[in-house]
Amino acid sequence: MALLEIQNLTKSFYGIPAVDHLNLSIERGEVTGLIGPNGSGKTTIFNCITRHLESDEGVILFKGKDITHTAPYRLALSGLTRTFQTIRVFSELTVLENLLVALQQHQEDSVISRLLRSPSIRKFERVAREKADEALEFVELTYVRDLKAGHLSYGQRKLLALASCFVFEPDIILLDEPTAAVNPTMINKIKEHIRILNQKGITFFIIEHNMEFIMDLARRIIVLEQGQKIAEGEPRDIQTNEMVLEAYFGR
Amino acid sequence: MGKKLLLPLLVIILLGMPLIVRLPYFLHILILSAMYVAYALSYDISAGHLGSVSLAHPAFFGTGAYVTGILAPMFGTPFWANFLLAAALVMILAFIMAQPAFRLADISFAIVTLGLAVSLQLVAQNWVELTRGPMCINNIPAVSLFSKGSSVLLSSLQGYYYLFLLVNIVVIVIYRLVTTGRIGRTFTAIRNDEILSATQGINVLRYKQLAFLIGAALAGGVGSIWAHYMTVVCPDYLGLSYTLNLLIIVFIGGVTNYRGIIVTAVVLTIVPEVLRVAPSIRLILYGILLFLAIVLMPEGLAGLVDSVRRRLRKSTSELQSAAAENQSASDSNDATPFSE
Repeated sequence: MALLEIQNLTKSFYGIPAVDHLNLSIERGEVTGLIGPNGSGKTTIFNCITRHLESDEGVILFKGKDITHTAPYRLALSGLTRTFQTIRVFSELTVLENLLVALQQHQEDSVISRLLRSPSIRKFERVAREKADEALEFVELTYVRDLKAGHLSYGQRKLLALASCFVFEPDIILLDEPTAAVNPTMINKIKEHIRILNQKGITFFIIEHNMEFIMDLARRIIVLEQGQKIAEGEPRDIQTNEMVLEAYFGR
Repeated sequence: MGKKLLLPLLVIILLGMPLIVRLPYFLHILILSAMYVAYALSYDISAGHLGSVSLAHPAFFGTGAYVTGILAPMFGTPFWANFLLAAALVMILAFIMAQPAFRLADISFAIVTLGLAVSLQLVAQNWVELTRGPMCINNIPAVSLFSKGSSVLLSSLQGYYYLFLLVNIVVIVIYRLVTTGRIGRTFTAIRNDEILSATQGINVLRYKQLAFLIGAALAGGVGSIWAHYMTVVCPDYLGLSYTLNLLIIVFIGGVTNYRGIIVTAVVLTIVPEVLRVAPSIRLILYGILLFLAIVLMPEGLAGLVDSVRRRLRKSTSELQSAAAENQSASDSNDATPFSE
């Protein structure tokens, strides 16, 4: 059974299809790349999976369950999360708090016990802090731990966004252009982090324009054009695929 | 040391206030300020911390006042029972309102809450059999601790002053419990970015409704005590003028900053009374003061205090570094004769 499966997904804007009867599946443990020219529907697919957009047709299955109409917060609780093309962090919270707020949603406690600060909450908080510190150490952000996230540089925010996703150990992370506007050193760092996290069992589905990055990282690439899948396969096959070359460079 | 002394000093001043302020009119102004402190803090929980700017808050305050205005004369229930009942019934009312209202985006949300508030005011005005309409309910008994006719009655202004201090402590404790720690952190996350919050597992709607219900219940409770104090409840308790006062207090005080809101609630209750020395231009002066406050403190009183603190810190560190430079310069001057 595939971890994530999309069947016949369709989404149109004002009658123009952005995603057109698309089928794809992601196996557990994979790193899969999603590439295609601008406007080919990559981010729309992510938005439909995480239900930031309502799809017109089709079914999305996650761990075998239909999640087509599941609220985004429920998806995160069941192990599916994402980053965004325009990087998002909680700017008024510190770097540590950005991770704690994500972690605490995945710990079993009630609103009443949170209000009354019961002993179990203190225990949860201690565990969350340990995990958050580990995650910060991993992405090398410990030195800005207590700084407001709004004061971080762009690259640091990218790392924090990634840490906020993996800190609660989801099954799959959807990354939307993780290397956009990032310097080469940081790109290598992000690649290394993704590799290690993947070895630990997290599945990645990545939209990317940086071909060198995605061809090196992904075991399988899916190519989109005008909302349709035009190719799928291993990176070396994709690089020589006629249809892909045509989509990118024209005849 | 200074900070440690501040709280006990404040407690002594607050407790001793009725001994200094003897005129009933001044005591009434202090009670009114205390009411606005609790009322504004209850509003800030949802409007400030989660950005859900509801225009229905006075409807909760007014409903709480009406619950007490109708039940207390009828059953002679003690004030704390009225307080709890008003808070509980208003919470149920807020829950019903929240179901459609929170499905809407910001501006639509504000308009729907305004519509619900206006509807409730119309009910209060026109359901004469229950509310006496524009004639107001005007035989609400003073606060009694146990039941009607029991000897423990609170009717002096001093007594009400202390009761409102107690109400403020309760409201501040609940406000702090809700807006700090794990829940407060989640509130900040939602205020910063709702979409990101959802992708990390936060049930945004649930937290927004939680803040709305807690704020509404507190407003209902404060309304109940206010009804006892005033002994009269009228439909204008649910009106828009209260909404404007709340918005002014919360935004000039600084959203999410309880200290700024407390100070602003007190100042903005006292200032219009002080301006009565010039009755003909009183409202013009009040308007100018509000205008200046918004121009000079765009981030509210809290923002102004922060920027003054930053400047002070900066100038202190500059002075310290200048002193250190002078010291090192004089050290090197002193050292010269020996080195020679």
